[in-house]
Amino acid sequence: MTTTRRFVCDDLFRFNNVNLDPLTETYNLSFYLQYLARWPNYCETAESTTGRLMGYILGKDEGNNSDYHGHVTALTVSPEFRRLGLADKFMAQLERLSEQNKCYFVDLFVRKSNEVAINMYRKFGYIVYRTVLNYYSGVEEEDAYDMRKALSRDVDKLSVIPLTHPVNPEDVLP
Amino acid sequence: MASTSRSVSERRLRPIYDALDTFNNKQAIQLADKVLKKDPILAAKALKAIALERLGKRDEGLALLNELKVVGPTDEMTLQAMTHAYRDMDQFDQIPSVYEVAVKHSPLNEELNAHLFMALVRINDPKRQQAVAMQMYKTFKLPRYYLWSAMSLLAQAMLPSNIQAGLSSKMLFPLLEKILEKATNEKLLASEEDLDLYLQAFERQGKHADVLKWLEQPELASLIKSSSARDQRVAEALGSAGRLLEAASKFQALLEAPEHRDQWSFFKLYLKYTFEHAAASPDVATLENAWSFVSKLVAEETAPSAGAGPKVVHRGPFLAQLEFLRLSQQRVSAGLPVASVAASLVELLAAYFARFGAKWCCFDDMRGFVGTLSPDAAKELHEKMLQQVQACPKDAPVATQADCMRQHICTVQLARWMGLHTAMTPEQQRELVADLVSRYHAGLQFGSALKETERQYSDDYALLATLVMLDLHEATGDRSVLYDIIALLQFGVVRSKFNFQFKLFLVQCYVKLGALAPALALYQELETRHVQQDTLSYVISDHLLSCANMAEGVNFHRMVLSYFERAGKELPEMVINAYRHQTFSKVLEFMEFTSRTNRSLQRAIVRCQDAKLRLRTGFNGQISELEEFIRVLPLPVEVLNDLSDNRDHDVMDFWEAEARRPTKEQLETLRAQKIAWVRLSTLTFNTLRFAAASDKARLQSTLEQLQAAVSAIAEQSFAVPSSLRLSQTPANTQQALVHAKIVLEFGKAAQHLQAYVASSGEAAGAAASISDAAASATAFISSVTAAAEAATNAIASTPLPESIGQRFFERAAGQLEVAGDALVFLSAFARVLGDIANAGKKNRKKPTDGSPAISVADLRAPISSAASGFAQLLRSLESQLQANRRNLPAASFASKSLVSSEADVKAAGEKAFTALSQSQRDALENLAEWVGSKRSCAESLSS
Repeated sequence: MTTTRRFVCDDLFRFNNVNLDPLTETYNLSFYLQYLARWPNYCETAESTTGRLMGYILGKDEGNNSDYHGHVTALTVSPEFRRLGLADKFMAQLERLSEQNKCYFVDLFVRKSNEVAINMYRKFGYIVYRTVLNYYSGVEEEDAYDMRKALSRDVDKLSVIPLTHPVNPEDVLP
Repeated sequence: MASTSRSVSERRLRPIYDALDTFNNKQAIQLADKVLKKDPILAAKALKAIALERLGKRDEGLALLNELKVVGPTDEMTLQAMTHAYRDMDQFDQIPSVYEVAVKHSPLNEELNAHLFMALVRINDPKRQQAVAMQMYKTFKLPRYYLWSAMSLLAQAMLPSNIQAGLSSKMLFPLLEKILEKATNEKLLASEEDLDLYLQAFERQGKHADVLKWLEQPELASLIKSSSARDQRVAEALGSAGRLLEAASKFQALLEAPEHRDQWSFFKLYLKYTFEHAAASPDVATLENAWSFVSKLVAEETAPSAGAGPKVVHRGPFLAQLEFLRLSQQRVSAGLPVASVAASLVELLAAYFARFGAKWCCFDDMRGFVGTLSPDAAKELHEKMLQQVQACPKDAPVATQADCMRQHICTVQLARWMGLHTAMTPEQQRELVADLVSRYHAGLQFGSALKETERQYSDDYALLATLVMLDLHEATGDRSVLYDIIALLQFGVVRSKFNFQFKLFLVQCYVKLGALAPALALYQELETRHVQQDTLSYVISDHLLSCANMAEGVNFHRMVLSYFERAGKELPEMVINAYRHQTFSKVLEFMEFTSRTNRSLQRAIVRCQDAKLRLRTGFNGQISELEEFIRVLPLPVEVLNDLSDNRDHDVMDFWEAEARRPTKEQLETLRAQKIAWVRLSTLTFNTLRFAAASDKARLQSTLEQLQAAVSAIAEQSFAVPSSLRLSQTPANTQQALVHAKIVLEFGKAAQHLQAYVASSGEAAGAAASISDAAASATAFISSVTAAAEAATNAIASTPLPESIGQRFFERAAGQLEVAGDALVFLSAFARVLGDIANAGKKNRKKPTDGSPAISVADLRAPISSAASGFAQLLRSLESQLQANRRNLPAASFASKSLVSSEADVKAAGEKAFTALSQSQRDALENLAEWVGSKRSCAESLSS
């Protein structure tokens, strides 16, 4: 059982059992606090009955006109709390919020090699909209998939017609 | 400036900005000088100051900024560059006055006013913030400035000093309420965040009825866009305001929505308020209704799926039933009637296990309830669960077998939690370990297809075996068990490359054996960053001093401390951000987080250790080194009263038997102990430094503080029950106390010597001062002798343990610290006496009437005899270390069959053992080297 609530600063002191997982990055303080300061409702934490952190989502809304959309920046669940449908719950909440804010779609970036995550997002109704070349820089340079799911405002589902050609990272800057 | 338009200035400054961006600081200075020669663009001066600061020339940079300040710039470019420079120099408090001048010059410039407000936020001055924001509202008529002002007032009311002085309740909150009332009347609210500011103002005062009053106004409540968020806020306020029945029914309504079926906080508060309401009466009708509601939700979960796909069963309603029975039990103990429920808590827990036992989190779900069972009931549950697992058919498909294994793991976790493992005899524990380890190996088959980043399904067996082995080690003192754990877990990290719990336990075992290098290597694999320097670095930093690795120690400390430096610059900007975006729900939260970070206990510990490490390695008795040491800054003492323990212990202690987990009080004791250690270490370090620098006034006040600390701590009891299993190392406060007392004695000797110098100096000559000098000299001699004796005794009475490990190195390091500090004092004294003797030689022709009856040689005598005593002690320590180094066992992993049934485990153990003994050898060598240098220092002082 789970309590989902807003992500708060104090979670940073306690999220080690989530963040020590190899696929979860620990960012600098400004990163988290900037999200909390601008999109407090898009950032949620899940807590177990005993108060242990289970996972969290950080997101935002951005873009103009028909590009106005919800975005998933980070989604992670601690190994001990997987297979409970938690990611589903987080995504559903972010989609609800994006619907409420009248966004056209929700999108996210994922490493091309992260099959587990890609399949999970497919299950949630996301499609690969385009490939972003070398989106992930640094030691393990890698392409990203930009995955999308249309919301009800995008009646004709124009936001989810896949591009045929890959794009460069500078093309996806907000 | 007037003749140069903004765009022209910008173009001229561009190359300087570019140079700064690419950290070409010297070039930036040259470019700035070039610009300044041609045209006095003020911003160039501020940019030059930034470059100077980066090159370590803060004084020159500050001088430039002061020149600018006198001019009083008013253009944004210069002001922003100055802000940047002051921020880099940690001089946040200089910024507001710069903007004040500019605002006075251009009061209608909105941007400048906003910068002034933010400069005040940066230094946390809510009183002036409020005034500036209110003025901005009057000038620019924008609602946001009115709300900035209200938020600043709330921040002011939350300042501890204002709360303590009664100012908050008497003046600030009433004023805030008035301001908010006016804001509603004038309809200044536009968002959920604006409303939140209102609600906080009342919530922080505990006025929940007022919160409700606001939420009941439709036009205000509608600012919360999500209806369920609105209902949740109302339900919580109802509960806090004591309107229990209404609160419960609001939560019940929320729970009806399918998306809330797993929202534990709703269930918990729903049942809490239902039971609290019923507590007043023997009537159980409301309780019966609640039970049927929860049971209805359970029935919905267990009903067959309507759709085609497999149905996700929510755990929420099932856990709510458990919670219901837990609360009923409490009612029974209070002698109140309860709703009749067909099942017992044990039965429901067993049913819960049958349904969810294969989930990784089942143990975490159950443990809160298991703790409330009587020992007999807990045993009954455990047996039921085991029966459940045994019913698993041997020839089931692999997926089912894996589920059965998860269920079995859950039974072992609960058995550990209940204390069944710790109650076993060592023989039983050995059998249990053998069983768990073989299950671990057998379970690896289920995970052969797992990705490298995932952990093996059976990893938890290895962790449970580790905990039992640690029990064994503690009960029997058998160190070979630690080698067994290392072999098992080193094998484990081959199969689950990223299992951080394996790594954290390995770190613990390596440091127990005094091997820092392999521990550090594993810790580095965890790639901890940023805030984890505050929460997790203790895993290594607690052992850096004793494990005697200078280079690693300095690097590690620098990494931790630089995180805090960055945080100190970043966090105020984030509070500003919250104001800028009008996210009022986060302003106080950010301020509180900033405060907790600034008051970090871990930072204080690392600061102390770093100072000690530098002193211990850097100072070997040379006068030039003494000068170097004097340049080291004293440690800050202001923060010591209110340190915040941000370390994360739960990441390790999670599974431990409930009885072996520290209680809140015990954790508080441990924290107090660490703080006491920090206090003693800080004050002893400062005593040393001020004595060496002959800083009379500060030595005096530090000694007073040290004396107070020593007596306060002596009165406290720091007993921590030995049964506790701790991831943190209890501070050796006892040792620090002994050490502090010695330093106190030496500090007094330093004062006597200062008094002697003062009364026997050039100006002296009167008879009175001759006797003063004589008295000071006598006091000095007896103080030095007493302090040196105490130091000698402290070292001699703490012999090194026989086996090489954490305790061995801690002891050795402690001895060395006492000797080292004593030598700093003795050297400082010798230097002072040397100066007097030299002055005496120069002034030989002068009449010697003023000289005291006691000669410099008399004063030197106790110093050289103390030093020769230390030299002897250190010689023996040195030879012990060298002997130990020779006697370290040869590299071979002689496991006693606890875990090494598999060849791979044995191989992992062999490899680990080689690294381990190399690390021990290195540590012994480093330590011997340090001792050697201190020994020669003592020898030179004694001659």
